[in-house]
Amino acid sequence: MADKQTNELVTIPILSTNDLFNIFDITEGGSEKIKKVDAIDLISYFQLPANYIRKVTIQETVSSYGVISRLDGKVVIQTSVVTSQEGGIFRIDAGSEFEVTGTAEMQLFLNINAAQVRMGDVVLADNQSYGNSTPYGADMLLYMINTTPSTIYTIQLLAEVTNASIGWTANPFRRFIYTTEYVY
Amino acid sequence: MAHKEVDGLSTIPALSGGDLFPVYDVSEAVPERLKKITADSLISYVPIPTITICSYQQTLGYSASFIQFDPPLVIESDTVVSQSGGVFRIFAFSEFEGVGSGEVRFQLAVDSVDVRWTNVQPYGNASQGNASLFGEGTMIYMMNTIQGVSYDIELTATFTDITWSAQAFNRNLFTCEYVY
Repeated sequence: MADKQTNELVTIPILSTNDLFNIFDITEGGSEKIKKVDAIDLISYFQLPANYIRKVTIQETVSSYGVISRLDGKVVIQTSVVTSQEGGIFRIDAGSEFEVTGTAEMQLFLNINAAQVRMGDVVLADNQSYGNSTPYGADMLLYMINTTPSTIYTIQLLAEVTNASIGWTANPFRRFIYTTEYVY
Repeated sequence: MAHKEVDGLSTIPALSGGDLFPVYDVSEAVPERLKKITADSLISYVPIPTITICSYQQTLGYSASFIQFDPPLVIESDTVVSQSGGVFRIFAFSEFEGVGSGEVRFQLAVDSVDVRWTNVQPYGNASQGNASLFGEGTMIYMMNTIQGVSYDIELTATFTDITWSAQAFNRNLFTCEYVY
């Protein structure tokens, strides 16, 4: 955007949120007065589309979590803390892949603010032809919740090894939590 | 926006990109000074979250037959250019028909980098027999994008059984770019 000069005023191509605007305030007693608002306040006057995506949070760890066994119970393998921008709906997609020893099997869980809201199927690691150290995908968990503006939500993905033998282990990797806030 | 008169001056309900707004510049540690910015600049501050592009690649027909030890077979592909930078949400899935007691796994790659795979899907049992149809888990992958950059997205299949074979069908890649 070209910078240009008009009268004695200087134009700038980049707007700062600290910039102040003169507006006519006619909300009080009918007498007009000029007040200043900053850019953020001014923006709030603009009408946004009726339905839109307000925020996307990608929380993904490609590297392995570490070995877990049945004795470990449920362990948190990924955490995402997301603040609702203006209220709406969170759509949460979460999942993980895992690598096993033996014929380990794993189950995933999704918690929001420490409350369990979703669990996956027990994913069997079929090592008939693959054997140890074979990577497996697991169920993708989907959950949606209504959100309150400025409220912080702690979203956790947990894994549990469920096989009969305590000697077999799983090692989750590609652990992800995707959170999208829709406003409507 | 309502039309109104203030001190004989008309406000305009429709804004043009070249309209100028007086602004107090307080970004410098000096007394305020007036400057003007264009409406385009002002509007650029307004977040308008949107979906800039969606690309849907679907092939209902059958892929070539594949067996164990074959390299991953590309069964669906798409190339999507980021329109404005943001986030891609990619869904990928397929179904398959097997012979014998075969097993199939699907994988998702972006720019030839493997980013996601499904669990091994056991194929059928004695009561279902050959030529039974099986669905598959849907993969999701999200990534940040850069405006103008082209991304190659591929759905591949591998066969994990020793003896038999399979064919993929109803192969899908669904990509949307979110800007927020």
